[in-house]
Amino acid sequence: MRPTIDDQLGGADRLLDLVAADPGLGDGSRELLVNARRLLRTVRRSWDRVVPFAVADNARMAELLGEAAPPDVGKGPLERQEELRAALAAAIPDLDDGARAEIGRYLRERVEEDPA
Amino acid sequence: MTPLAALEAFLHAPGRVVDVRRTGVGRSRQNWLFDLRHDDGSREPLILRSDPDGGLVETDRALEFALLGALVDADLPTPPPHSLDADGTAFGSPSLMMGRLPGTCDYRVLTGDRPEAERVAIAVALCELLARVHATDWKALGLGELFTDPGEQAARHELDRWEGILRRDRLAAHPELELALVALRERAPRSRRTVLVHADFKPGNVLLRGVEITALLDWELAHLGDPLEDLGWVTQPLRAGEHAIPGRWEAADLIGHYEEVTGEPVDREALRWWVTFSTFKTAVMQVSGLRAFLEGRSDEPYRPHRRVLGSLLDDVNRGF
Repeated sequence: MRPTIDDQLGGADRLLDLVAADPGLGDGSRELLVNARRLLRTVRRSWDRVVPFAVADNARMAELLGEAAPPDVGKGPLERQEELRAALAAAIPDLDDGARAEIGRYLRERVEEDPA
Repeated sequence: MTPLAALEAFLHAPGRVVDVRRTGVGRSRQNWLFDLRHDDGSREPLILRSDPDGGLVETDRALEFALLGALVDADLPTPPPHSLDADGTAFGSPSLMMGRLPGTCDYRVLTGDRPEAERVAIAVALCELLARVHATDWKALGLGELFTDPGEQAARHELDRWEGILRRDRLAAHPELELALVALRERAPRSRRTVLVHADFKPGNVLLRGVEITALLDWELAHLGDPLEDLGWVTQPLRAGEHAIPGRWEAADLIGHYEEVTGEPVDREALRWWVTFSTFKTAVMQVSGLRAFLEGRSDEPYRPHRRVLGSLLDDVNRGF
């Protein structure tokens, strides 16, 4: 269906391009515009990968947590992701070196893969 | 009330505040530059710095004012404090008025357009200025009354401070930072000596006139602690773009020159801890910045950055 989310984000980005081209724009407004465009472009680049990433991330975190994983009561992937990240953070201080190292390796990979 | 009127009322100087102009935009820190005209016709260049509603870190303007007052007697190019609006009664938010020193700020000066020899001279001068900060006789200046001396526990003391900020400002769990906290706590080194730590030493916080450093600014994070804290901050790979000249002035050159100037050996293993701590601190600042942005107190859309988290986890995973 048109406009798609991409259409709309792209349209907003194009409008902000037009504002940025205005020679009368003050320094302050220009700085705010840079920040707004940066946010918009981050969302445009990543929004459609956020949920698939969360599903894979949740599976891996549940595996790392084992029995310490909170029960899955059918929450949405993003809510479940927050829950598992909180459980992982809470578990870390009590884990042995080996388990922490495994989590460290996963979190490092995750930093590169996280679309958000 | 206009800024001019507020300044004149605060200084009890109707008609004597001239050339008022503002730097900084949006909700970021407001800097008002102006001159105070005296009866004999002379002018006193001043700057008023007002706190933003939200920023990377919350700091105490009254403490910074007291520190600048104490540092007037030190051999450091610090701006002389003029007056303080500690609770924001006059200017809407806590504000500090200081003498305005000459020079310009260029936070990328070491990688900028100047000739390489000039950039190296500035890098050396920055290193020597840091050594002078650490050589400051803080006891004689009374800084022990402003700050706690953490003694040999400086590393744990700073880790506790930034863990507290993380717990206060986080909006969600950060297992990456929890992992770093555990690793940092397990390996916190003991400090060999207590010095005055600037805690945000960088070209962006100095003013330059030619190759001369005319001012060292932004003392809001300063405290007593381990000199390796500043050295870790300036040699962390994330900030190499500000502190290094590739192939000419790298972290090892900076450390070597610091040792030569101070006569104090730098413990490389302890320094690696402080480098990792610096990255952790940067990530916590971004956590605080995200909260400030989402609460509408800041216009800067900070977030824990991929590059920062990646660097931190690299350090943690290889044991620093």
